[in-house]
Amino acid sequence: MTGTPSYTVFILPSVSHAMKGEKALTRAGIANKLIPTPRSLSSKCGVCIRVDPADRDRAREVLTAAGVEISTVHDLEPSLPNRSPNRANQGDQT
Amino acid sequence: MTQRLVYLDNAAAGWPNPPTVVEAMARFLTEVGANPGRSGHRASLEAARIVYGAREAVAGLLGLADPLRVIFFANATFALNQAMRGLLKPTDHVVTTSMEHNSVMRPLRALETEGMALTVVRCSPEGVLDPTDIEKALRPNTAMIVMIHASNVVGTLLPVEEVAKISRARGILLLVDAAQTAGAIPVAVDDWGVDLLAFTGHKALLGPTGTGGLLISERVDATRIRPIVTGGTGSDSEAESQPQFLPDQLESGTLNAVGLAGLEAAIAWLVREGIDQIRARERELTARLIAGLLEIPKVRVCGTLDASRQVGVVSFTVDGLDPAEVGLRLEEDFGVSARVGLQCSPAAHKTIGTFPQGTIRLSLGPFTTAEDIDYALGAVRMVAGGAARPIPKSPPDTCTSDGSS
Repeated sequence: MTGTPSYTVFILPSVSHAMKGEKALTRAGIANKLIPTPRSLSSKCGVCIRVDPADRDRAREVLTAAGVEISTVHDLEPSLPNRSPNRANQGDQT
Repeated sequence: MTQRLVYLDNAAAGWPNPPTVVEAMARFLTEVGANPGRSGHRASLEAARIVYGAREAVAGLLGLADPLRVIFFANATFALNQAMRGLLKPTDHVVTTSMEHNSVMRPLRALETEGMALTVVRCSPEGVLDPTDIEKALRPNTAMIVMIHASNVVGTLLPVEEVAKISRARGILLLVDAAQTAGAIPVAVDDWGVDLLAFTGHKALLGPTGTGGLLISERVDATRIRPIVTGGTGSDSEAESQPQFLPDQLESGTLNAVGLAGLEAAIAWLVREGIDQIRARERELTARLIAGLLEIPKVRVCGTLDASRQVGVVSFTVDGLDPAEVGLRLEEDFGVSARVGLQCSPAAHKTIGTFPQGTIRLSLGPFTTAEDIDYALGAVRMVAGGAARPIPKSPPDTCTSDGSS
């Protein structure tokens, strides 16, 4: 990977952790999106949390403070072109 | 149904449910409908959010810090079985009370046949437990104390907080069956020092049947708990062994997401109404019911006769009449729904002296009114007096009230 990565992805143990993490990040004002976990990274949990790389450290702090166990953290580029870059993404909560 | 219904069987299933429960379940089925969290798509994530919302609601209401330690099952019975079978060994000793429901007694008796030692501490004929009797029953190998929080037969509250002090001082696990209290009175798992608490969603919590679960405090090393059911969790999918973290460790198979949508809505309703307010109203109506029953000739009321020491569950007998017959007459002639017999609690009935014939049980909920109580009292008076009459078409306040207010 060269330059600034497009995404930072937090892999969590389970979807329940992902739900807890999503709430904590949204409450802290950190844009996030739950996405299917790239198989190249993990098969731990079906979904993971994507954030802007600029928010990586803060997101980690927020998740840790909320008691959300983090399995691994990855910076990555998507293989497919993305219509809605993560930086503009304000989450996907309905 | 065209017959007038005075529903006094809330200890079996809370009814009616708040309209928001029905709306939440209908919304889930019509707008979400997906498997919670198994897939990454929008509907699946929304289903997972709903389930997580239910975890937060339960944890918040029952005083547990971490929602991920709320484990959902189909009912309290499953939760109690998981707690006991998951933690006890044949070399252990367990202490329980003589007021337990069969959801506790049967698993313990089954474990007893596998070698585990069991002491059943006798409660008073009013269903009252002296916590010092629990302390006296402890042995060096006592691993767990299992106790009902409020009797499903006579409503008597058992001293969970006092027993928790004993269990914590001795490093013994305390498992509480809160089937009759979750939603009916304030419960504080963390503050009280309860280790494990089983609840059901369909009684005082006013959620749908098929919801319930186990709260596991952070004092319990969850890795010690052996799951009684293993299978798919949507996590650790590369492994053929069970995940070792909560809630997935104990939650295999697709959850009852539509039911949990309803449960979350029910708890939101309870919180808006206020558990303290609901408790105060039910205590007042319970006192009204007890006082009214005590005035009826041939009726014997079980329990402490003190509404402040019990939940809204009242059992009675009528001299010379089979409880089953009384229940049938209450239903057929007056449209009053009661529960008769042993209420799945033979040990409790032996304790209060009503085994094997059992009792007639009337149990209240947040929607029970003073008019319902007065109408039911009038019906009991008629049945106990040997009279019967057809279901009245007039409003209940025109019926005999027995001056019990």
